[in-house]
Amino acid sequence: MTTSTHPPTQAPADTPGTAASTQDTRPPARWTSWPAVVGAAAVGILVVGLSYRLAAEGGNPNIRYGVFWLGMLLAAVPVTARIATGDRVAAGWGVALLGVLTYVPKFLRNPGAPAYHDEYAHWREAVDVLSTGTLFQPNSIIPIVQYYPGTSGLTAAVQRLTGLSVWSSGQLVLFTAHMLVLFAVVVLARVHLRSAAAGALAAVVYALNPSEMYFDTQYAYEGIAVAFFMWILALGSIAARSSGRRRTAALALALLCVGGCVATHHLTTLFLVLLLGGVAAIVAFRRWRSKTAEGTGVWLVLFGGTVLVAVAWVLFVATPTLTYLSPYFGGSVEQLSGMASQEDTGRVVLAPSPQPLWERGLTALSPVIVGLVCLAALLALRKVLKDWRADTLALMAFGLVYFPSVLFLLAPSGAEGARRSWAFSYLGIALIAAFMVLRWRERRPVRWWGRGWVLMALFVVVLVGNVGAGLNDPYRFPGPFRWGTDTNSASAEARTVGEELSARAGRVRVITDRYTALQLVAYGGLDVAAPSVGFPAWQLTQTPDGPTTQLAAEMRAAGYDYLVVDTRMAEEPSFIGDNYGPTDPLIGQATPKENLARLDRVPWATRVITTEHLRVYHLDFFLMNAPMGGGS
Amino acid sequence: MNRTLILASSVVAAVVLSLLPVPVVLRTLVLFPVLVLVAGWSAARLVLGTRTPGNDTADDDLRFTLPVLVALLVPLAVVLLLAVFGIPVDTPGIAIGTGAVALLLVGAAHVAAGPPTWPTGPRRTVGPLVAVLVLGGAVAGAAAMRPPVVESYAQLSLSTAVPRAVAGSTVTVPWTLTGYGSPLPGGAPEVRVAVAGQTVTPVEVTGGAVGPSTAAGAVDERRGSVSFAAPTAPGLHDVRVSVGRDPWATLVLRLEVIS
Repeated sequence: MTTSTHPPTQAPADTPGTAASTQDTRPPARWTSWPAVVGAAAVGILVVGLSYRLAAEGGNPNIRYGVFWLGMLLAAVPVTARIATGDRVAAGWGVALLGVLTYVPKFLRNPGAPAYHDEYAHWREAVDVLSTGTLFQPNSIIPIVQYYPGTSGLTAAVQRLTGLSVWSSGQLVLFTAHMLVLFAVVVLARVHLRSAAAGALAAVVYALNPSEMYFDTQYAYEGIAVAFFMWILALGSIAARSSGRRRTAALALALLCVGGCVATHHLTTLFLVLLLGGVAAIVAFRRWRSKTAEGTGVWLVLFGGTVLVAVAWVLFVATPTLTYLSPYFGGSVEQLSGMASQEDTGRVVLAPSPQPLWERGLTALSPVIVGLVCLAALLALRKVLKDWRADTLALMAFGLVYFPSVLFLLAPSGAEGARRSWAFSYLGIALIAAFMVLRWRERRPVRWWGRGWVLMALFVVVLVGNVGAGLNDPYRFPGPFRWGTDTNSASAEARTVGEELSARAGRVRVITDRYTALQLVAYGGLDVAAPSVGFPAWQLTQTPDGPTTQLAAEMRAAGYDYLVVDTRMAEEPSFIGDNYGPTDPLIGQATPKENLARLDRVPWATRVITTEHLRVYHLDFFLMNAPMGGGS
Repeated sequence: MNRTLILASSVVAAVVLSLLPVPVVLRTLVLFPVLVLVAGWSAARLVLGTRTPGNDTADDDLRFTLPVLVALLVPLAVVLLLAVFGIPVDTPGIAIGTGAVALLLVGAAHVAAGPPTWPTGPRRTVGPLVAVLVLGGAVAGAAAMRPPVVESYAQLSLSTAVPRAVAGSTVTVPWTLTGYGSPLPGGAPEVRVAVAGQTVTPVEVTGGAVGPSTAAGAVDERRGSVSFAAPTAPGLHDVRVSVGRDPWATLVLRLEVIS
């Protein structure tokens, strides 16, 4: 068994040059020369742009998906092949180019303005921070965003220092964070696997994670917090293998990153606490068993510091965090266990969508391939565990969280958490895969196949499959107006109605559907209600009789004076399924037209703004039971 | 010492210029990078020490990426500190705060790691610069491929609060028709009023000429009003004011008539 690409625990820290053993000394093939790689990337980007044009015009989804992947593979395959040569300098530039290529599809999706649900929330938060000069502004799209000012604060700082627009400033921050994530993986893998080639390969594998191309590149707090998360681990790993000033400085910088992470995103902080707790426990256990230090103190300080900062933040700044997060955990576990006995609960994985069958097939195949790689790694490592540092093993083991998380996709509440876990768990997968690839490359060549081509085929399958496992079609592709999507239901009409209402009435409280709400909050700064079982604001349009007296009294007391209706909700069912969130009584159905027509007859609603599709009603529930003099 | 002074001076100059009305291009490409990357470079030297000629290249990835990481951390730390001390998060606060942190890091790096060494081999940046230009051009080209989407629509709104009226008196309902994406039709729209479902003859209709709009993104607007006799019976009345022939272009009002 070959173990030369991984270190015995007693090896000196950060000895360079082990990459040489895995470096391909042949000159790069013509198609992986830098001019060819950059040229292919540029052409690939243009082809991706063409796929978005085709998507915006509608038409056969197979064509736009095919063109998209033609462009992406044209761009990504040559640079990946170049990285795989093991040349240290080429690997650095290659990872940078891969970072660009995994950022560009989302950037081209909506280059000039927010389009994703969370983007509206963070963009509005940044606008409000800039206009008021203070952090912690209330946010009615994602209320918890108020307590995590990392994204809005950074955006505000960049906007003030550069003079760019708020959106461009946010993109600059996100792009920087995106690149930092990949280079953190490079450093982490280089430190843990003691090979520069391993660093670049791990970055390539990490770039395949299902959240990398669309989810973590959206303008939201995850994308920034993940960068801090990765660097905490990278700097912690460096500190654990260093001594003197280097150890102190790396640890101090890691703790600063902890502060950045905690102030930016709750869920990333939670994953960080869990992972650092696991690493610290395993390292401490190894120390107890075999009396080898392996940086135990560093990991304990990092874990303790993270817990301290996170607890202090939640207790003194972000108190609603626990209330916000608890439904995702309790609810998803409940739904997942319920699915064992019922067939109709939960979501249908790979439900009917424009996604072509071949991409869905690769989506199903991808976890299998990753699973086989992990299984091979387990078999390779099982007899030499004691030769490996405990923190490396802990990080690799963390990658196995990916597999149960795939199951949580089946539960509606768990899907969000599962999607968010991939950016973290794939770090472990990246370490495992980089180890296996290097190990495989060191074996004697097999006569009847080219290993490079097999690896490239696996790369393509996992890339296509994982992107398919990420966000849905309307999030990935632009398109004609489609009611019931966060992205393609956005209209200039809703935007200008929001601005007009804000101009005439101020930042008033409004009842509206979940899609129009994004526009009203983002562009009008309006305060939109979040319907729930306890506050079923959807009764205004989703029931034939309108609101109950109790709900009317609650809305009046809470100051909800306006209702905004998009009449397209009566033309077709929502793409997502509901118009007012999970408590909507008409899930899967279009709102009956009569429900909307009734609003023009009731005494408590006055239509004060109207366009072809949108109507704004001023509500006066004091007139709930008032007789209409004219008998209308 | 001279090199450290040059770094410190560049930070001070960047702070001062950031407070002046300097063009966005200069701020984005020069002032902002100077402010945050000098801080980042100094922090990297604190962690890794100053690189010496002939030194190994094991930390090259860190030397390139740590400054960028710190460039992300410093502005975040500054805005959080501004919030803690109740200082407005605005240009002076952020620029001076970031500059102060950068100067602290420059000083600390000088004490701990000695004077900085300047990067060598500028010729090696030519290739990446060309790549950036090529890829930037490709991204711009790809973005330009999207067909421009212009939504043309009009918006009718009630220009004042919901009216109240004395029975039998004349009620005036002002309205505004705003055009988006394309100009409003030239001819004055027909304005109709229905009270309790019965069409009434307006006392007066004004539909001023189309003029420029103050609304964001609007092409033009037409302001007008319609006056009609309020019902004689006190109570709440259904009043519909239609502007033009489009079925959607109707304001549905609840007119409260008092005796």
